[in-house]
Amino acid sequence: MGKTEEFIIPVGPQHPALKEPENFTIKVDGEYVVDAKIRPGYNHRGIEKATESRTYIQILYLLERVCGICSICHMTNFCLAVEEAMNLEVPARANYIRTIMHEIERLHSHSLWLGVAAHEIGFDTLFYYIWRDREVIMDLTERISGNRVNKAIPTIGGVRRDIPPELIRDLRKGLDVFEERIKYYKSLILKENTVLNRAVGVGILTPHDAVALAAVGPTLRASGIKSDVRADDPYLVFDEIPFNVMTHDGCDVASRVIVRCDEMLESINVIRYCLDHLPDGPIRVKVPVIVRVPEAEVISLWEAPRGELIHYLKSTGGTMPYRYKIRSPTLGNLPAVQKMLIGNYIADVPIIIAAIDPCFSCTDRMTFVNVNTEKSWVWNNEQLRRYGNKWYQQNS
Amino acid sequence: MEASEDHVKIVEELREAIGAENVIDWKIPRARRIYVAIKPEKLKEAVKHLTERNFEHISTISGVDVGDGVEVLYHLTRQGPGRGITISIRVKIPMENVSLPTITDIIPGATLYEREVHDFVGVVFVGHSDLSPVMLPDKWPKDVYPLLKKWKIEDIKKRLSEIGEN
Repeated sequence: MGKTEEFIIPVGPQHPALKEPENFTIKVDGEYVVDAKIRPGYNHRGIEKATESRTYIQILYLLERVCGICSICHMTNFCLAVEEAMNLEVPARANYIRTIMHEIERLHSHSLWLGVAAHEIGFDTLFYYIWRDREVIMDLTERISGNRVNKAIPTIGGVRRDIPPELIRDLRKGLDVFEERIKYYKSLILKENTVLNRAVGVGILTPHDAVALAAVGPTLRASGIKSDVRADDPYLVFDEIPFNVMTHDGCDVASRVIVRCDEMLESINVIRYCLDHLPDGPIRVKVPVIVRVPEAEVISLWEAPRGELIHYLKSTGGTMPYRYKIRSPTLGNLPAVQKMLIGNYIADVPIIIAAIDPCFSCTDRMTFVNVNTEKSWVWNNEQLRRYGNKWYQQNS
Repeated sequence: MEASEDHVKIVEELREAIGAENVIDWKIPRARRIYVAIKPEKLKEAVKHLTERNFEHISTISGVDVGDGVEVLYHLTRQGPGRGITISIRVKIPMENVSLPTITDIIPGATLYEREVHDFVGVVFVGHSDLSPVMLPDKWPKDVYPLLKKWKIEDIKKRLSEIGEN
């Protein structure tokens, strides 16, 4: 064996088809990743600064656009922060509808992710099937809210639309169909070598590292840590709903798949419980268009599909916040990804990054640099994915 | 939601650990939310004390321009028994010297949060291995910390167009 050469591989940042670009500079020794450096921020839009010059109702719709996947999360979490600062009591029915929408969002987000993960390991058949079945949830989302993406259901003081009885019936039917499919996919994934070969033992994150690196959500729970804001710091009506926090102790990509499948099945039960116990009554309390918030300081924590989401509101009184701070789950999980990548093959980079469900757009354009000769060449996401899948065909 | 006695006990233990004279103020506005303002020089001691009492998870770090200085809040959440309680350690530093020791040696997961606060309000975390921009562009002007109140959105736009970055 000759002297090993170290290569630097910048992965990212930009891909027009995907959201939230990120750049990973990956140092490799042969096929092994020896170090990784993360550079997010390519899509920074200055939303926190913008909140300081907008009224609370304007901010509501601005924050909905923080993320297209979990718009309900940001919107409702903002409502909870403002309502706590105003000491505003929200009708029970509104909180149940918010919970239903919250869990529907988890279903669509996790199933979207499951499809993407299948695609990353070259299992496109699974990807197509999952995304077909996800349409059941998307159609229901659209019928409840009028929209597939920015649902605009929550508002300060409640929700803007009720769920009528015939829609409750259809929602139950849709959930039955979706539940059966997810159960099938879970059983298939657990015995399908196409998945297991690429997921078991890949991207290890030990429980100790998961806590030390402040990982959140399914990434944390797939390392065996039983942590879920819904259970630990209950908001909405989670203190009334019986549900389990799903964990798995494999600490690898396979565990992250299993945890998300289990969470979808649990979310279906949560929605069913909400439909069974949906209280009668109004869906909102009226608040003025120009909302005035007294001097207050509120931390609002929320379990988004990707993990813990924190909003911090500081109001000095008046119609605009003094400071509004948001930390979304992906930023929380980036230090953990860095750790997971080390020691794995280049071929595993796409699925390891995808396994935290980043607001997806990492592995798009990459330059491979030979640090000794300074020769470089560029691969895009598709090429790296193909390289990975081909490498596995030849080496497994 | 009523805060229980164990919340007060958490504050009492912290006061004992870092010295009561170093705790400036504290409040428990509701269950599972504790705010404690302490002197900046006792920050690391406080964080170490809390991590040893299961406040191991850092949710984020918030930097707030409060006029005559910058307030930095470390939001730590408890894992294990009594999980779900969030304690926010508040330190205030003067505008003339916005620096704090890094806590990444105690909680490695704080690394990006410290860089984010550095980006937006300019706090220098002494001992942090890399304070390069994490959210802002590489060519972002070094003196512009956009979440300081003195920087109006129009001024930031003007500044960026001056350096050909808008």
